Order: sequence, then structure tokens, then C-alpha cells
Amino acid sequence: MAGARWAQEELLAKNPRADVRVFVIWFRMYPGDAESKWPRELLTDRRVEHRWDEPKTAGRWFLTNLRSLRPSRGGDGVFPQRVDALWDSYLLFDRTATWDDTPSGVLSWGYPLLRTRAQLLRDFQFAIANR
Amino acid sequence: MKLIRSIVAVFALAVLALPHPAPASSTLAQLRGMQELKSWFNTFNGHPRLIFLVSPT
Repeated sequence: MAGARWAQEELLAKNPRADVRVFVIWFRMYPGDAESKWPRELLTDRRVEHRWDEPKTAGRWFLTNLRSLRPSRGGDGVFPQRVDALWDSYLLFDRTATWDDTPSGVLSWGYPLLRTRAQLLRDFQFAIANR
Repeated sequence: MKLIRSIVAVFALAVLALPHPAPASSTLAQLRGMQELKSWFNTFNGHPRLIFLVSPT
């Protein structure tokens, strides 16, 4: 949740006019995680949508397909091991990205969020400035 | 009195014009599969898009 707090403060609050759109997918990874523990006070910006993903559909899908996404500004390189879903992660896409079988236009991805936030910040600034 | 009304009106307009957060929802909607994410993704073509995969830990 520290990563979500950081994103709210450093990406969205400091760039109120950026036309970025954000989708946050929450799911259980540890014993004790629960939908009821969703921190509704985080990422309340109007550009953000939240969903609960009980079966970890999205995390499993990205874990399976991450190697085929080919980020143009670099991937994290450290692949999460021994887990069944990609989590504590971000994926950033450029304006031209479209999704057919897999999404195109990946600028970068990172895991875990706090360790890769410097790259996310750089690429976020690149993405919102690149009109 | 007219001056006070004008000041209040200007202040109110300024507050309304400020960027403000969405009201916090009391419930969290369920993701309706990858199709919903794909649909959201393609709806906002032309915008940078950022996806977070996180747990409430």
C-alpha cells in the first residue's frame, strides 16, 4: 500500500492536469489480505478506477504474458518468482497503446513498486509530456 | 454588503474550480475479467495509461 500512497502523492497530486488514466487492481497475495482491507482513502483521484480481483485474473495474466510485452523504455528485469500472479507492480503504456491479443505500447513495468518507483517517475513524466 | 456577496461568490467559484478528489467509494467493484480491463484500456486510447497490481497488505 506504500506504493499506492507514493503514486497518489508523487504522480497524480503533483500532476493534476496530466491526462493519464489509472486502473488499480486489488487482490489477495498474503494470508490476511481481504477486500475489506482495501484502503479507500488511497488513489481517490478522478483519473483512477479501482477493482477487486478475487481470482487474480489480471495478475495471473500479466505474469504469464509479461515476457512478450517488450517495454520500449525498459522492464524491471527482476521477475517475481514462486508466486502465482504479478503483484506489487506497475505497467505504464504510451498514448498510442492498443490491446488486441496483448497490449502494445508498454513504456516500462516494475516490481516491486517501491524499488522501481524512480523509473516509473521518469517514464511517467515522459509519457505525460509526450503529446 | 454587495462587496461581501461578490467576495463570497468569487471564493465559491475558486473552490469549485480547484481539482478535487473523487468521493471515496464505499464498495470496491469486482473486476469482470480481462475483457473489462481490455475495454478500459482501449477506451482511453490517446491517454497514457498506468495499471497497478496491488494487494491490501
